[in-house]
Amino acid sequence: MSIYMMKQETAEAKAVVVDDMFLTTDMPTTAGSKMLEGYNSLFEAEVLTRLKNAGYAVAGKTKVGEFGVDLLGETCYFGAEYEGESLQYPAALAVKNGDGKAAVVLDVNGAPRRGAAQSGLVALKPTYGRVSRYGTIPVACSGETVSVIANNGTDCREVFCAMAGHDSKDGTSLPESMTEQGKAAVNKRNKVAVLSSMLKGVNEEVQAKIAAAAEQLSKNGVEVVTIDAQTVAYAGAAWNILMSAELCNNVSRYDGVKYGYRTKNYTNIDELYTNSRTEAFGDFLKSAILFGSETLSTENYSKVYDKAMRVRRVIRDDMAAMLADCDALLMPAVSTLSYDRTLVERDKYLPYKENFFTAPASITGFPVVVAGGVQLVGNAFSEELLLDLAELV
Amino acid sequence: MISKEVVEKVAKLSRLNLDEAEIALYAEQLSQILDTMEGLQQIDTDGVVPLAHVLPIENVFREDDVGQCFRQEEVLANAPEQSDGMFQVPKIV
Repeated sequence: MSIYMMKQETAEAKAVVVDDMFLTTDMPTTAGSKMLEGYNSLFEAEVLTRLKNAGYAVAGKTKVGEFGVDLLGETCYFGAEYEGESLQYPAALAVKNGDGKAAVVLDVNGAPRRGAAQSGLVALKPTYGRVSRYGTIPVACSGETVSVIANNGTDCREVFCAMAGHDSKDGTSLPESMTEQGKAAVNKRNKVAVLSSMLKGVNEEVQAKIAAAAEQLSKNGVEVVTIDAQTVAYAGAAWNILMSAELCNNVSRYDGVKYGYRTKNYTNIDELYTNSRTEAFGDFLKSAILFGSETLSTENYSKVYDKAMRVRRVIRDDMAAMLADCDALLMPAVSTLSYDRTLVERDKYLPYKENFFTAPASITGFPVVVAGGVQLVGNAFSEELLLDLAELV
Repeated sequence: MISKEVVEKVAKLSRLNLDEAEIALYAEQLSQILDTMEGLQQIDTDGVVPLAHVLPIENVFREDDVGQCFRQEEVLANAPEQSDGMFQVPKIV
């Protein structure tokens, strides 16, 4: 099984791989779904234009799980990647193979961070709005962020800098003035806080990674403290609601009319819509659509969706308060360093549970660096500081 | 607990067909997920304003100029069925 949807030879010395959530004009874009099999975009993602202008070639497109919401790609219509019995993240394997300086990926529900943590690579999910999402397949727009995976922080930084900056084509892109102000407001405290409430359910290997990272930071003169922040532990539950609701709206566009899969089995327009969607979407995506639709129903809106948005503010404010006093919050990215095939196939809802660790940065838009198998979540615009810390762990 | 009727209703709104076994399965699974959300009620959010977006986003305006345009055949290139330069669908009215 290939980790690529398509791979191409490049003459350029500098190359990156991208995942299949980015629109490309020289390769199809499928978002890992039968719905978009063979779809050819008329325009390309803004970040690819910027990378090409900076001298990078795109060496290929790696597979993603259907619409990028799963663990590591196990719901990809075109096949999941296992090494032995261990589930693998295709973009991380591409970086390990040396197919490019970095993988440029869309972090919808934490898959790139899980992949980097389990592969011993470095990942950067920048502050929401610093990198254009123009030309990425929309799924959970209020949190998804263009991210970078590389062998080290230096390569992450280089590729991030080539992509970052205001884009008038993306309505959620930050103005340069706000970025400059935000960067100027970042103060180095030389202090990192371990969030004890986020250590719930991690196995011994991951606990050892957290301990090792804390020790390395201490050794290098960084003060390491422990904070018990209860609200942050609810980020996963709140994010599941917001992500599913946004997903259900975003994939409502796939109806088999103008592009994408169309059923052969229809006699009227309703059957065309319904049968196209039923035949093209996978089980996990369907459950997310149903759940999202249910959370937005009249009966649930205030108890579920509205509540999740209020909790989002509480978590954002609590994390910002903690980050006023330290450079980063240290927490796991995963519960285990390998997902076993039997577990993945038995527990279809693992992505809703495992994102317990990745949701705090998704729901707040705060930047996060994965290094040494752990996450360092920082305040908005603190990418440089986080990448410096990553060098130490 | 989410009833089968609720799953059927939501599936219909989402334009998805489910068979009896799938309806039962999703009813159970959606109930499980909703149960885990109950935890959120423990966080006091009285007086908290919902946060839809993490950034102070403002509406973006631009001049209504003609930008890049695509030719008709380009736009139709991804169409599952087309006829006479149009997207083809079954008769609606």
